[in-house]
Amino acid sequence: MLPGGFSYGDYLRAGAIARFTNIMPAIIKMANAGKPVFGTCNGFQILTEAGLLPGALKRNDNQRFICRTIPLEVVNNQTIFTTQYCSRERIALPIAHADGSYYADEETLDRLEANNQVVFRYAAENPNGSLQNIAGITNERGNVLGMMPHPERAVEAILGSVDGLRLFKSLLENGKVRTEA
Amino acid sequence: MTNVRIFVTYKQSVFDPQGETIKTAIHSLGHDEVTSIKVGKFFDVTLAATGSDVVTAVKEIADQLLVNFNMETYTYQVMEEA
Amino acid sequence: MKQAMTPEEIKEQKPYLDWSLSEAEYDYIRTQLLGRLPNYTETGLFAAMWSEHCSYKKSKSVLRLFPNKNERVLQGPGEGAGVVDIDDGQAVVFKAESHNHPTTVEPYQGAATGIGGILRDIFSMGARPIASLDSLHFGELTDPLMRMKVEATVRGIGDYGNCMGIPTVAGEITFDSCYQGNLLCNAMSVGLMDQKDIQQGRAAGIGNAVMYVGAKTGRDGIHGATFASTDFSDENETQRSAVQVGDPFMEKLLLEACLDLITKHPAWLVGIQDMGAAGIVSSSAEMASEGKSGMELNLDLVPQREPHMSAYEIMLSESQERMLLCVKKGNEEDVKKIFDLYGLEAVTIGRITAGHDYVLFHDGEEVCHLPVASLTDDVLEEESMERKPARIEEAEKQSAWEPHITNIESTLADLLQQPTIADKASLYRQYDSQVRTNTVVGPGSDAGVIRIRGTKKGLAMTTDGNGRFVYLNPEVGGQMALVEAAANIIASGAQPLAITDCLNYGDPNDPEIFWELHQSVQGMADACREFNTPVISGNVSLYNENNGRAIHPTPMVGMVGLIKNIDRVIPSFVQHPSDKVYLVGKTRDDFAGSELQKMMIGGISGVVKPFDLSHTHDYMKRLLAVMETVHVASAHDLSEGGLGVALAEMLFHTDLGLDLTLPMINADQFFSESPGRFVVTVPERAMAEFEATLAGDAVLIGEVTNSHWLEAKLANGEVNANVCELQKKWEEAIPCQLKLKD
Repeated sequence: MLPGGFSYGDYLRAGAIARFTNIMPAIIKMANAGKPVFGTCNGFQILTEAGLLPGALKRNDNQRFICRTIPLEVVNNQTIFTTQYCSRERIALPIAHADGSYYADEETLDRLEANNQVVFRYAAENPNGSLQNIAGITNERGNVLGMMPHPERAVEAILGSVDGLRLFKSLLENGKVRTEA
Repeated sequence: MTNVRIFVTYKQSVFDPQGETIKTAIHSLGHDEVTSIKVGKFFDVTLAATGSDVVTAVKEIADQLLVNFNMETYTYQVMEEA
Repeated sequence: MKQAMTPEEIKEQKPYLDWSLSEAEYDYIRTQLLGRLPNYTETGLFAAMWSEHCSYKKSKSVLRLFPNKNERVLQGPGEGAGVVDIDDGQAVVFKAESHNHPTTVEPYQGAATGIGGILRDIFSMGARPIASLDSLHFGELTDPLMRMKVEATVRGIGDYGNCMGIPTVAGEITFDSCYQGNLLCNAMSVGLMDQKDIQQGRAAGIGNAVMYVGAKTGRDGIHGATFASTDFSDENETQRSAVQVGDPFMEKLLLEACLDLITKHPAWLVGIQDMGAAGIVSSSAEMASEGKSGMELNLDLVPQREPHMSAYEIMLSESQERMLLCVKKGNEEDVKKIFDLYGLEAVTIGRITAGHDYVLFHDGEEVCHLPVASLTDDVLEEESMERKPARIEEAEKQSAWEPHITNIESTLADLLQQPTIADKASLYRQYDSQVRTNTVVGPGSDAGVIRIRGTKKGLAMTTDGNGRFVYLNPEVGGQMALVEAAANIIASGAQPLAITDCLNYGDPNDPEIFWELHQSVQGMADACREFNTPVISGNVSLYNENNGRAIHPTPMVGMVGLIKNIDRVIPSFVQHPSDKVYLVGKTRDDFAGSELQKMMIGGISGVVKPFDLSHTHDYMKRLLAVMETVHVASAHDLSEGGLGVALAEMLFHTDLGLDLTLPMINADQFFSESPGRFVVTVPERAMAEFEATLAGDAVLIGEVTNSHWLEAKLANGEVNANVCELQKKWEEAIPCQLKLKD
């Protein structure tokens, strides 16, 4: 799991320097072997910089950091990360980022849609200008997921929303992670 | 020693909201003759190298780190050779 | 390196006057403390250490009025931050600091480095910062330059705090023309720690090492301390060089390295302090003074990022992200290894010596040899003249201004769009309020609430301080500031523990302004005693004037409260239809200094009347008690805009409404700003106990409804307001103003 944050201060570009850290080759190997890899926010940025996911994340259209909980649509509930969600389900997850506007060229975008690689889309409003309202995508194989919203911030009622819990439950259900007995 | 200035900008096809916002502000100051602004960044790199070694080094540095080719492009200028 | 001037030249040419050291102070130093002429470096050190910012020479006499202790206070003022016991061997650590002058000149970096500085104060105590708050006061948004400054300040706070991964959970933002030339940016940080790890800023033990860790030293911010101790004027516009640039990524590394050292290897560490105002000199001299030690430093060993820095520059630089450590002799390499892991420099730059002298070497020469005390304890306190301003005397003779409101609904709508009251979401959404996943209540409520993982406890926190009331009546205004903070804490269901403060005032050499300082501190102190919330840390920022115009005296109170059961946090907006609505506290004709007055006549005037502090405390205590025994659905304290605005705020972001009957309140009083009041909603089954506990201090005024309307029958009028429309106006006011093109 590649968490959110500000690796290397987000200096140069978010995730640009982190993708050269010592652990990345191991992560790339894991991804190529079909193991599940999940990146949120800065994690998503690192995955695109490392070439494990297509496209790039650029500065939000309004040029500002945005922290709020917004509605998303679960576009693809057939991935190992989303089987516990219903198809086209609306959920609410927090976002907190300044560089979350997804960009890819037309050819890549067409390919993503054709291969069902778009997993989450921004629903009622697009907070950052992401093309095709893309909030999260997988690689072709479907074992690497990157998303700008923070499901890990929505797992306890006291913190506001539990819509993120089912992402992790999906991984458990699909035997992709083990918990300690 | 060689000083090189590397300019990095978004590719033409990529929406540049910062550039648009600045253009609007400039228009409001009365300069309607400005038709386009793109915002980029530049890196002033000093290398202990000269000649074609500089070209190779700049290409590699830009390629591996300074430029994200998904959305950016670059040019560079050799400022002076010591 | 040759010093810029000889001691004799300094005596003749008096360069120290430009550094805000007075001739009287210089003479006192050379005749009474040294018995000789100080050299250039020494004179520079005196100017910095004797500045108001470092020495509190003018304000100390007033600060002594504050209570600093109670049964929970583990550390009061005098260290990096204050420390309060929160049971289970844990402690909360907090402090606020102002960065007004840097933010006025360079809003982005001024605000960012303000956050950086206060964070270092927290982790210098051994605590992990868990939340930030900020209190910002700007000029009017009608000025395009001010709009840019607002954006830049908010961005500066956001960029630094977000990058550090510390949530910003609460704060306040106000707008008034008095801050036009002198913005206020007060940053507060709250940290959590185990009591066993509490650190001090003390250097002691002959032979122990003085180690410098963190970023390299450059020429940034030199004379930042004295810069903060002078007024602005147009002549001083070019103050830009005195502002430092922050690197939050480096500070994050520094934070982790320091906490690593403190919590895992306490035996190696004698003391730790952050390098803030006046950099190396203030941290090292204060540590030596605290440890009652002598100290010797070799400036050639200080990591520098600019060439040819003089001793003076090295000592006074305010480069960010640096800490000073006193390390036990023999453990220097151990400490260095910890900082190496994080890619940080850690260098021994000196030793603790016998005696009490402060000695500096540079370029192989001794450049400073002073008694430690001459820089710290022996600073001459200054007595200041005080005079009650004529404007207050005049106001007392005049009859009170009355608003005479005819259209209650449009007055409410207008007030909700005043920038000080309007929705601040477009600004606070630029702060990550959820990082670390402990935020139970984020910005937009009465107080921010953080849960303490692994326990049932939580911490509520707020910053408050209405400068207008203090301007009109400093003593009562000071009391009101404290009461407002306590009200925000109690409205969240938390027990107030203690406070930190930022005292933002004008030029103390003006007797009227010093009177304001003295009186308001007296008022705050009285309220602190009444509420048992001692002042455990804080900061004074004087000389907030531009071209002779002072800001309103603006004391910021930063209060933290303890929530014993995090499942019982009280929200600030209505919850269920049919819940009963109560107004707690007494409403009077309090219009002087109100937002209503400012809106209607363009300024503030009149008399701010005293109120019954002990009675207010009494019913607030009972309110908190009843929150612990019955289910109180929601509570919201009243502040700017009075009852009308508070009722609207309780309905925003819900789909509910209110149906109220208020025969004791007329149209004017609907917006009066009497202190210590709440609107509380309570389910029917809890009414009896609630009324029994609050008795004569709560009045049943109506109930929560299913329709999204605010309906109220007042003594002389009615309100029937569509909440959707009100909410839209409230939400759009600030974004609209910030986009305006001239």
